[in-house]
Amino acid sequence: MTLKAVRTEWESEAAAASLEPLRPGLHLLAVRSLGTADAAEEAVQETLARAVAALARDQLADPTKLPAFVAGIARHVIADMQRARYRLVSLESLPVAAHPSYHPDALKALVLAEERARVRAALLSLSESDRDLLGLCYVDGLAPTKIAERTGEPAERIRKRKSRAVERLREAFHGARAPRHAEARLPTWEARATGGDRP
Amino acid sequence: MNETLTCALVEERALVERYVADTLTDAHGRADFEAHVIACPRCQDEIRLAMTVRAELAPLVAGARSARRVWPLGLGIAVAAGVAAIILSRASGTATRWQDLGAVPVAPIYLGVEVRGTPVRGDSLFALAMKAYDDRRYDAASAGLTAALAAGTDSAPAEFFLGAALLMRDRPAEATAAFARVIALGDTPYLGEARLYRAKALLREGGGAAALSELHAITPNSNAVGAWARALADSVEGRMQR
Repeated sequence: MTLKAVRTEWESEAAAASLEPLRPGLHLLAVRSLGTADAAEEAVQETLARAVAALARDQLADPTKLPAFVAGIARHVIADMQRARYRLVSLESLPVAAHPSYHPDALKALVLAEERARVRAALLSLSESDRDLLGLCYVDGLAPTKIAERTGEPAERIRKRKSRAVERLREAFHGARAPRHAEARLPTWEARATGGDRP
Repeated sequence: MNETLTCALVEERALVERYVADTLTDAHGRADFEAHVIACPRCQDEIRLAMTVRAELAPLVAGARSARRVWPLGLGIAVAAGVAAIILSRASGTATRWQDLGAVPVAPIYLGVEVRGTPVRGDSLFALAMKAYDDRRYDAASAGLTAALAAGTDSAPAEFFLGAALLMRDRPAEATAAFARVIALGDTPYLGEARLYRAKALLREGGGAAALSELHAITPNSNAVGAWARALADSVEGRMQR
């Protein structure tokens, strides 16, 4: 093996290692779009392989843009996989809610049954007006400013009500365990870019 | 947009909620959001929570909303309206009788079509129209798809989504005609769904028998569309026998 080949291999391994912290996030995006853990894993592997190759070719000018760079690759990979699997998907063929984001397989792949059960119980313990507010946020996808325009209630008050309700749901969702972000290590490029502060 | 987001900005702009509700489009910074998410365990957790909340909340909210639409009018009015609806639906094959079965709460999703060898001008018009469709601007989508068809784009997807856009605009007669044109094209990937949504449009117009005929024409083994068609046909037949 030549010195150049050794160096190339070492650089590829270093690139792969630097991409590894992005794997959980890529997996989440892929599961949500593709619906199953298997398809998502395939998308993640393909994304990381393309990213390593691109890094080896020095296609990333600004290292702080690595997440955006990889997310862009993932979008293409996922779109290619979707095109290959379907030309058309009927939302009405899905039994729950109304969108592939909420394909039962996607939710099952990302969320434990007990987490769902705890959130369900917490939702039922909220007042009806708080559930209505959360419905406007999570079902209709409206920002507090839009809800304020619709209901006439001040946006700041809506933010506070929403924040309180979501905090109860968050506590229920996490149960006894700490939120994952508290345990997670800061990715190396992010530490370099921000001096260790969370973005 | 190419903006570097922080968790505070994500929260302030309700990006997680809009992302899981699929109202966060590319024009509103979806790519920037995804770039942030893949590097942010906190926001990943928030998405998982948001997906769970949405899945659990949707049936609760839908139930509450439909109940509210009825009860404020008072029990007497509701009963009177119910009786009137029954009389109307029994008296004739009016649209009212089939409205619920013809409902299309969410438009068929568009995930792109295969790229052909040589693009024509109509293809770019089609792409623009489908952007409007994805953004739920069905007026613009139907106008754009009509223009794309006139400019020579592939007619099967364009006619199909024109029908879908017209259906979402509550124009069932025109939607029926658009889906009929897709069906007339023969064996395309859109055939099964064109029949299904044409049946929906016909139900909206009060044509229970015609809808049933369309549903029966769907190939029985054609996956989810076939299953949905069978379920809808059963509902139509059940109502006819009442």
